[in-house]
Amino acid sequence: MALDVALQHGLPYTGLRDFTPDSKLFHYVPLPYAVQHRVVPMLVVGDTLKVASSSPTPDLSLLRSRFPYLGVDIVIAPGPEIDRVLERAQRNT
Amino acid sequence: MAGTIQSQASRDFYRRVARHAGLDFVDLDDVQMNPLAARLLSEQICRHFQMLPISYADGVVTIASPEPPQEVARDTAISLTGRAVKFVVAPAEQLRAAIDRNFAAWPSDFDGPIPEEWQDAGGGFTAYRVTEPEFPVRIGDLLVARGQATDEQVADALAEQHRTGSRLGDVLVSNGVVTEPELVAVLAEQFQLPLVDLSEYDPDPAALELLPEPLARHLRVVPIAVDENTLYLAIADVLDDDTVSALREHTNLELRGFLSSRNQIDELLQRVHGKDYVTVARSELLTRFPEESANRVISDGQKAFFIGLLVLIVALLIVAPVPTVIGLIGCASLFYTATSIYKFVLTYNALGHQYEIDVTPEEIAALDERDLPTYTILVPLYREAAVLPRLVNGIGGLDYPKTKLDVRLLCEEDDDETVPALRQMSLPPHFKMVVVPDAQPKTKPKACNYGLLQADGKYVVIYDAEDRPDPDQLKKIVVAFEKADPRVTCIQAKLNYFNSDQNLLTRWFTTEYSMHFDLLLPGLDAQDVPIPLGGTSNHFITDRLIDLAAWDPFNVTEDADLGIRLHKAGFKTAMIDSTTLEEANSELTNWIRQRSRWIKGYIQTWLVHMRHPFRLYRQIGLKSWVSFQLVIGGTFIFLLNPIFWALTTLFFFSSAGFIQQLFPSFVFYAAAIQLFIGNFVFMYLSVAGSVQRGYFDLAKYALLSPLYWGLMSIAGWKGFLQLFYRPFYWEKTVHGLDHHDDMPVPAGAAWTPPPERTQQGPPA
Repeated sequence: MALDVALQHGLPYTGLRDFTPDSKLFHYVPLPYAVQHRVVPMLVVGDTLKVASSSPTPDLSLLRSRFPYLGVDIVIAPGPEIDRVLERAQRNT
Repeated sequence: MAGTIQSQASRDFYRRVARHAGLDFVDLDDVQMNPLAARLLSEQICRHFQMLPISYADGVVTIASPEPPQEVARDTAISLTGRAVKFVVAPAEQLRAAIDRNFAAWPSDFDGPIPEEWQDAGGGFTAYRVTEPEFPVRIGDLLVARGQATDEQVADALAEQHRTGSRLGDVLVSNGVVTEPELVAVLAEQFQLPLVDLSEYDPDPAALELLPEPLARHLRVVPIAVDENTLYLAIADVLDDDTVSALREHTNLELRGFLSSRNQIDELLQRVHGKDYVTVARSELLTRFPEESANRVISDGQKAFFIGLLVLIVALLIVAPVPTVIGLIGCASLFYTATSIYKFVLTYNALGHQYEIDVTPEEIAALDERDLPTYTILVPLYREAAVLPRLVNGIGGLDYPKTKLDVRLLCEEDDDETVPALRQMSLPPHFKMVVVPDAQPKTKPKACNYGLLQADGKYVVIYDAEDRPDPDQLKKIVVAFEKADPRVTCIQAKLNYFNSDQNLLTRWFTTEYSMHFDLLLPGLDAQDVPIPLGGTSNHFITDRLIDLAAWDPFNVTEDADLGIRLHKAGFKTAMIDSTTLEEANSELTNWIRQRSRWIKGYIQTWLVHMRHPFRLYRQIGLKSWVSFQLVIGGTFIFLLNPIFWALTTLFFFSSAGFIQQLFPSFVFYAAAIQLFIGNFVFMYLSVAGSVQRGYFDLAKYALLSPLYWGLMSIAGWKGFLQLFYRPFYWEKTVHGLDHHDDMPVPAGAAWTPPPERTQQGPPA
């Protein structure tokens, strides 16, 4: 399903089964906001943040307004795996 | 090693966060934090939002946070600090450590949870209510929780805060909702600072010695105790970074603040440093510009010159008496004529022009009250208890935010009438009584200098106790300073009288003032020559006034002298079309006392600035030099008048031949022209001044002005002779003789003190 979305929109795809995000990245996307919009900040490369989402167009307006000099790359990931990553992150907070 | 690498990686990460957010990055291990600024937010707020104030400069609080603030965090910071805020990014672990350090040193007395209804899904605050007494964090919450204010009062104060830009606490005090001590107690709780009551406190002399008096006065702090590592300071507000740095640099000690009220700090400073203040008030001009001080009536050079001149005249009188007297009369006539023509030209020109800075009602209406600066009003008082209610009403009627007024009532220590009366009055919170320690010379300028030492205002003005300034005068001045030539340092409002119709003397006085302030001074202003300032309603830029060493305490017309010194320093005085109504002296002996002081002061001023006539000429140029001679030096005419009147009278009644000899034709015609045309001109100008002001009924009294000039000459001789034996004696003018006790209270002037509270808690 997520793979179809990725192919359909020409976006990269990743699985998040064993992924644990760097807690610092939640300074970019606050955890409550990430949970609400079902997104996971994955990695900052240079001036670009990779964000995993099950949607090709997640609502990242807060991110863009707070970080006007940051590029954002969307990576499609399965929704249930995103939820599990965020649950783990919440437990660890 | 691994820790260092990890720490560096963390710094790099947060540096990138800052760059992506467009904010500055701060390494908290490298910066010196302002520990007093850090108390602007409570521990709970700092931990909840992960933010900490680290510095305070130029009215802006810098707050460190590991990420750019969400809207709710920013709003909370602005609301709780009551100041503009700027966020910077700092590594999270550094920030946590800084919060721990900061609040470990000063334990918090509040550690309750943030109520759920204040939090949204994102963990931030939802929209604020006006007050939240169940969760008292802000001043308003705390006051409502303590039963010292109602939600409506806080709401009103918030609206006023929005309009004026003043601090909420100041508005609440100004509105009479709480007293200053109550506010300070609440602020101490809010900032979690310890509170100190300074009313009975004697600071540790060792601590006082650590901070020189001028620095303590400048920074408005009092060192109250000291130990090996820490200096304990009484502060009225969080100190900004520059102050903290200055104190650290000076003392090499850590600082710890104890909150107190501004008034208590001012009073303690006066108690501890009163003698130093008096020395500054008395000697500042004398120390910095000794040649400008009237502490010597006459310089050695002048003494030699006048003695030489006297010897020469006596010698000439012996050798050739008639030609000598003719020469003297000729010179006097020439001086008379020059003075008359000059004043006529100045005032006549002013009749057809507006030389004052023009400020329109639209410009005043367009003022944003948030941009208005603090304004200091100095009111020197001496044995004037009777006019105090009128004073409070007069100043209360000014259309200016009360929170931005700093009214200082300057009383002399030995004034056993005004001081007790003031202590018994319930004064509005922006009125402060300042008791000037007893010291000579006991003059108004010395009291004003003393008051100026603690002035908070960007601008400062002097009013007399009985003054009634136009309600919009201060706002007009603010606009005028913005529009005026940058050299303008003083703006003089016009003076006139509210009791002109009391008797003949007050009518004459009013016609004179109408000509002087409505025509002569604007005329001088237009010529860009020195203006002798009026005794009150002269508005100054405070910093420049202090730079000039303010008023000369030895000069009994310090105002006129300051006008000349301003001009010499390259500054300008401008006039404005706004009037302050005063009480015209209605009693003859009282009037003569006042006028004799004025004339004595003008002669003092002339002597001071003529110690070096050529230097004065080089400093101010020919035009101003001549104007100075004719306007200030013109005072000598009052001394000459009786001599000429006596000669004229004697001649008419006796046709004494020797008088004819003294007035050969060329001198006679000059003197006759002066007598008839000069008198006509001055009467005409007195009439013109009255008509210009709209006092048509006074015009007829102006025609009797020659009688008034006779009184002036009596006062002139009294003042001149007093210069020899009591040069600095201040002939006090008695006020309150006008019987106008029915002065209406202007809208907004009334002041209601806060209710007496015997116990804390919500009102029943």
